[in-house]
Amino acid sequence: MFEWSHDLDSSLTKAKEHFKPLLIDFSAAPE
Amino acid sequence: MTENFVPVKVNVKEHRELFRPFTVKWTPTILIVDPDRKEFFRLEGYLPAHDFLAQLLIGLGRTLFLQNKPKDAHKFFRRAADEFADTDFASEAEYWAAVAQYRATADHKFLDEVAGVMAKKYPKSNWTKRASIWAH
Repeated sequence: MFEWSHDLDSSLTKAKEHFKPLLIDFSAAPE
Repeated sequence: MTENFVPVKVNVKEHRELFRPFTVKWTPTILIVDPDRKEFFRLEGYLPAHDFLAQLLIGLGRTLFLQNKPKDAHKFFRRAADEFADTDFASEAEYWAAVAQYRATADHKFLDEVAGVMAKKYPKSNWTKRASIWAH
């Protein structure tokens, strides 16, 4: 569905740079 | 959809330290947060892809609404109500679309109209009950 990142810190930085919110999927299931 | 947010997936078994600040107690939990980690929307539990997309549109609308951007929020609520009319979430989207229009224009007619529309389209929805206060 999406190209998920797995790095929260770099995603927060990217979100800040692009003025976008972050969609975080907290999951316990292996991909 | 990805033009509207940065998607990141965190396995809580591998990264317990990452989810603790967000008070996540169940998986899956989907959050929409701003870059300062302020939470705007939360979805707990699994949904099939079609319903999940409907909730994401509502979540984006809620995020913009809470950020005082009701005109932009309305676009997402309207999309959720129109493109996902077959889901349980259409009535919620219809409700918030009217609220966002009201907030953007200060015109109460949007609330008055939606109460009647929802009573016909979604007679059993709890969102219709919430809108019923505007019915005349």
